[in-house]
Amino acid sequence: MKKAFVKTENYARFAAGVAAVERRGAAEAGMMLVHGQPGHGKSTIVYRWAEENGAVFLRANVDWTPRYFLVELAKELRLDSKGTSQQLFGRVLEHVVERQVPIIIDEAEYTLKDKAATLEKIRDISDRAMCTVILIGMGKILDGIATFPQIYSRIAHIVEFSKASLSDVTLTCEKLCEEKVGPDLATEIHKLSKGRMREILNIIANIERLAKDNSFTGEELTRKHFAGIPLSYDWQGKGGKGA
Amino acid sequence: MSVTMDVLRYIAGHNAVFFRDIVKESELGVSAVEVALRCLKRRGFVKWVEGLYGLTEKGLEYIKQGREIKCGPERGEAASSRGNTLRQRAWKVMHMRRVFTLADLLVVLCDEASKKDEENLGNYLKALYKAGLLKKAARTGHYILSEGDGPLAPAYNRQAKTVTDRNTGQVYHV
Repeated sequence: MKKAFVKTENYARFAAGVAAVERRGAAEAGMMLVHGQPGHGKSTIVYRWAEENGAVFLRANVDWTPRYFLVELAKELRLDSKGTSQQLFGRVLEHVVERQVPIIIDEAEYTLKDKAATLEKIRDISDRAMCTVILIGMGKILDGIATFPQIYSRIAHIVEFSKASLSDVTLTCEKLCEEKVGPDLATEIHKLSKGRMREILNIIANIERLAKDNSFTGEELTRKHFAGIPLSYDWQGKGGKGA
Repeated sequence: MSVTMDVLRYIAGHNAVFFRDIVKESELGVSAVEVALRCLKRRGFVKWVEGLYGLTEKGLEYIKQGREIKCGPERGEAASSRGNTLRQRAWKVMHMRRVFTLADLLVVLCDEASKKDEENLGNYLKALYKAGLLKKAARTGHYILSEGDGPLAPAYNRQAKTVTDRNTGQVYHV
C-alpha cells in the first residue's frame, strides 16, 4: 500500500472548524470540540494538523488533576514545571499569550471528572490567553460537556468525525492502493467497511494481496475479480464477507 | 569539536601517519576522514608524502595558536538537522504518538511518500534506535520513543556515524 495522507471529508470539516474558531467574534470562545467513534481517522488528521501548525499536543490521563495538567503543559512548552500551582499557571499563561500556541487535548473525556475541574483549568488558559484549544474525545463527551454551561458556551465549533463517504473511499483507493480499483469495487468496499477508515485500509491491503496472488495486477479491479472471496472479516460473529 | 580538527590534532600528535592509522585510532570512519583530509590538504594545513600524512608549516602554526579550521564534516551535524525538514517534522509526530511505525509517520507527514522519503526516514529511525533514543516493541516491531525530550530533532551524520541530541549536545556513536 502506498503511504500518503488522504484529505477526506472529515479532514475538510476539521480544517474548516479550526478556521471558524480562529475567526471567532467572541475572543473567549476559543474552544473546539472534535468527537466521533474510533476508527474514523481522528488521530491521523489531528497529528497532521498539530505538526503543520506547531500546536502543543497533550493526551489526558484518567488521573489528571488541574495541577497534573499544568505540569504536563509546562513540560510540553519546555518550561520549568516546579513551584506552586499559581506560579506554574502564571508561567504557562505568559508563554501561551506571547506565542499564541494552539493546544490540543486528546482523550478529553478524562478532563470531565470531579465536576470538570481539569477542563475548567483548560478553559482558564483558553480565556485568558485567547488561544485556540481543541478538545478531542469519544463517546458521550458532548453530553458530558453540555452539563457545564460555562464551558459549553466557550465552544465555538463542534466537529463530528463520521463514517467515510463513498467519495472518501474512492479517493483513498486512488491514493493508497497499488492497484486500480473500479467504481463497483469501491462501492463494495464502502459497504463492507461500513465507512470505518481502519477497515477500508484492511480491505485495500487484502485486495492488493489477492490481486498479486491471483495475477490480477495491472488491471482495473472490479467485484467480479473477487467474487466469493472474503475481503473483510467481521469478528463480531458474522464471518467473512466477500464481494 | 569537528571531525577535521580531530584529524588535524591526531596528525599533529604523531608527526607522520598512514591514512589507515588515522581511521583506526580516531574511530571516525573512512568517509569522514577522507573528506577531512581532502579539505585540510586543499587549504594547505596537511601534506602527503610517500603515503604518509604530516602537518605543513601552516598547519603547525594553527595548532600552536589553537585556531579552529572550519571545513569538512562537523561532528554530529548533518544538512538535514536545520530547518523544517522531514526528520524534524517526524520528530514532532514521534512525540505525539510515542509508539509508531515508519508507515505511521509517512501517512501523517506526506501527501505522497516517495521512495526517497521512505529511505530517508527509515534510515533515520534505524539510527535513532541504534543510539538508544528509540526502543522497539518485541512482538510488533513498533518503535517507542524512550529518550530525548527537546523540540529539536536529533541530527544523524551518516559519514561520521553519530547521532547528536541537538537539545543537550550529547553525541551517540552508532
